[in-house]
Amino acid sequence: MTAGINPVVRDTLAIAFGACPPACRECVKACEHQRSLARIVALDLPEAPFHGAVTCLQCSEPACRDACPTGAIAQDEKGVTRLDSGRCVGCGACAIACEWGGINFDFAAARAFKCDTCDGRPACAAACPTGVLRWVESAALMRQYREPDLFTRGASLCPGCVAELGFRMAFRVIGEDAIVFAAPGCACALANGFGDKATTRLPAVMCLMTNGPSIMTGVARRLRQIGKQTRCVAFIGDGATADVGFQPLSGAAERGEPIVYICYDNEGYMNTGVQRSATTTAGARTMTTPVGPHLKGKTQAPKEVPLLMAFHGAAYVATASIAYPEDFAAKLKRALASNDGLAYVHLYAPCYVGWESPMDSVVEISRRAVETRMFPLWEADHGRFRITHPIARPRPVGDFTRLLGRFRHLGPAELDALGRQAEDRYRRIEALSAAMPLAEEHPRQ
Amino acid sequence: MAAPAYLPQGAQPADGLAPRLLDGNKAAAYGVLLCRPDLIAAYPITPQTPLLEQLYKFKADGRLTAETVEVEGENSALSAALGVTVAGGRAFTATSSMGLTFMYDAYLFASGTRVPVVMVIAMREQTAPTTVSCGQQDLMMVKEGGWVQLVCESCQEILDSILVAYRLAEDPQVQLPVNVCYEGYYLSHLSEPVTVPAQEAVDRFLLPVRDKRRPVLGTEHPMTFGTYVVGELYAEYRYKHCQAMERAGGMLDAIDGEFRAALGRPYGGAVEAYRAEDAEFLMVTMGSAAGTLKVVVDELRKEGIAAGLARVRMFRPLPARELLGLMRGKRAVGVVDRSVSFGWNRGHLFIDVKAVAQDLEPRIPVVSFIGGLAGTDLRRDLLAGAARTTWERGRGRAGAEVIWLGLE
Amino acid sequence: MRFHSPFEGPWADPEAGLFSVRSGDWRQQRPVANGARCCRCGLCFLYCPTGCISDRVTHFEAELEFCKGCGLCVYICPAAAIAMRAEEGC
Ligand code: SF4
Ligand code: SF4
Repeated sequence: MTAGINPVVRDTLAIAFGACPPACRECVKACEHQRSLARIVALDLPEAPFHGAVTCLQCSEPACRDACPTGAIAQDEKGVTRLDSGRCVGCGACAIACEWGGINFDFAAARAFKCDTCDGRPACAAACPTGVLRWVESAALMRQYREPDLFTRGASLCPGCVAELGFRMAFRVIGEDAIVFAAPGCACALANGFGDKATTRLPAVMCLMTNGPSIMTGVARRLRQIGKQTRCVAFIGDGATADVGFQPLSGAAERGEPIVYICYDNEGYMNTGVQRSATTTAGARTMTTPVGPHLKGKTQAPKEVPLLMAFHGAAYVATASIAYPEDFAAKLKRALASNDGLAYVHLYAPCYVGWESPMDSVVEISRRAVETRMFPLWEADHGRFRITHPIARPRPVGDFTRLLGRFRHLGPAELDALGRQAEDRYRRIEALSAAMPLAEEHPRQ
Repeated sequence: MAAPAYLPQGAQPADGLAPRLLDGNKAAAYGVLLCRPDLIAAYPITPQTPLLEQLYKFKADGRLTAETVEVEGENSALSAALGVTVAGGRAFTATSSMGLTFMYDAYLFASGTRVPVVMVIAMREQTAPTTVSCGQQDLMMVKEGGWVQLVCESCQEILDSILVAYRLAEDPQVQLPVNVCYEGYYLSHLSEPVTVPAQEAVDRFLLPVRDKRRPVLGTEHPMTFGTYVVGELYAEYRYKHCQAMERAGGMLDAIDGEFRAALGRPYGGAVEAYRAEDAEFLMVTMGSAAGTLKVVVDELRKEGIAAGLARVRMFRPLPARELLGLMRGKRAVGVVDRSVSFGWNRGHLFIDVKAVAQDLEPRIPVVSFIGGLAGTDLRRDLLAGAARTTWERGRGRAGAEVIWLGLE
Repeated sequence: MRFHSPFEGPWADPEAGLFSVRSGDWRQQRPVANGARCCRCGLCFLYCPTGCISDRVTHFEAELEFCKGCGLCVYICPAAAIAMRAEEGC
């Protein structure tokens, strides 16, 4: 199989290694409760310091199986490695072969035993209070992202760019019956073509900063006129969305144009070298909100474009994050299904270059932003609101800002203010969800 | 056949050749109706608004089937029109003055991407100072924008030019956006007898878009529109754009011929010559002032002064060859402009004419007359004065190169 | 006059092949897959920003022609089946 084609995958237990809080044994307790002997170990090594959970990772070519002299270990058709205790002679070869501490040993019975994922419903992951253990239902996930990737492999975006990632992810859900609209900015490199060559196999339009939704209006009206179901989908940055291109977006939303508009929000003009935009978080350092004796980053709170879109009466509005791919895909599907007006999806798109963080950090930043309530995940269907990923106990905002050099200059008072802004943002959505709730299983045409 | 109607409402456009009284905006609306557009997107601005209102009236009456988009601004008006055109439809939009400058980015985008949209410019002064009065300054702000630009003299010509504009724009050899320009109030709000052609005749003259050769955005054959271009390829597209401009210039004569055959009215190509052949000197202008200048020419001829007029119908591409031909053998040329070029401090059409006149041997004086700004009348006496001055220059009298009519 | 584009304006037909840069040349570190370790969750395939990871039946692996070496696959892999190694000279 090649990239872009939907592969067969397996559900799996994801472990954030070494990210456990000290002395937490919730997973071990849950496993003991379920299976009497725990098949997961909570390593608590304060002097290392290391606090982390260890269990079998269900390798595709398990070393334990190969090491077992009696053939007691085998992989089942779902890829779960199982140990038949009846054939185990207690030699411990499997435990020595596994680098991951994935084999457990019952010294009383002199038998090895191991995790079998509770047949796809691991008690440990359900019990984990921190999200270090997650049961990733990738089989179901990949069914949501099943469409082929029709964009060029070699696109001129930075390594690890979340705009590139989000663009590809979005269209793996949206599929081929769509016309993609881009505007000047980082992500347009995937859609604007170069010279006499295209960069995507989808029909594509490279718009101006100031007219994406309006060109889409013309195209969408035409498609409707000739009886086509093809959807017009924009993937455009926050500058063209919140700043210079806001007027046409506002107009298209008010008129109820049947278009899908995805804004990837990297909070600034990153393609021109990191200048602030209306959506830049307060306090952030950019090239036009630098840090010096007289200025400490951006002084204003971000413009909340998704809320503004909801108040325009858009048919569907959602915020989304690549760290929550099921949620992202579900929202894209709802956006596509809402044919009676504009659908707006606001994708959180941390730019590690402009936000000053490591190259491989965009998923982590995205998740933290949700966990700290900096970026609440919600949706609004015809003015009815719902938080799709409630954060009952938010992490302190410092857990988010710590990841990003652009906040390095902030003192405790400024961080507090940032935290309060995040709280306000979350509570606003909470209040809307309470006042005008959207039923979880809302029917769609 | 219906009697000549003072009010067009209720009358079918196909109801024959009897002239009816229409102002320029209504004439334009009839032209648009007859071209069967798929989408109309416009934003109201004085003096274009009644055109827009008339189109919505047609829609309300069920005569116009086009999609209509009440956009939030002019940039969106042109962009929506562009979108439907790229997706294989026919679109119309219209604007004036500040609306035109507000859509400037889309304006340049439309021509650079070779999208055959047709747009009316109901010409108006360009703020500031703030005014909504007539002038040609708005057109001048976009004369280098890469569009084909037709300038009308009468309400009949407005209607007819819209038909011609679609023919020209959508021709596979052209594929350029076209402006149909007429002066605010002097034409937009002036009622004249206008013959509304029969729909069948128009249908013979203007084929549906599906019969034209051009790429269409869609899933049948996915393509990218508006690619990022650098270097040599950029020069290639510029070259092709200029070539298309050349062809558009040459094609207007042929299209006028077909128009005459199908609809009965001759226009005579990119420049209308009026008593120019045997003239001693030539006046040049475009737009509604040409009517007054024709009267002036006739009057001077009665006095024995051999005046002639060249009315520029196609401002872009500039019909340089035709203008040169008409100027050859004349002793002087006077150009009447309803606009100014800052820095040159002359009229815009004057600059073009003067550049063309460099090819004349021997050189002749070319005089710039600026007048009619902000809706002031280009009265007969003012234009007669301009013509006399030009005549005198041809006979050796010295004077300033630019003269502000009514101010000096 | 020799033209590059068959079109009057800036259109492009993907049938003529897609434009792509050899983004693998930018790489300062490469992902090295430990195929035996891979639990075939497919997360790297989904999360590779360049879309350059392909299914090698027993495991998933990057196409180095396009892999930019961002390391996101390493971050996302729950099985620690991928490791980044510095490229020669980096
Ligand atoms: S290093 Fe980055 S670009 Fe390379 S395969 Fe991994 S995720 Fe893809
Ligand atoms: S993320 Fe890791 S375990 Fe999952 S498919 Fe990729 S290499 Fe295998």
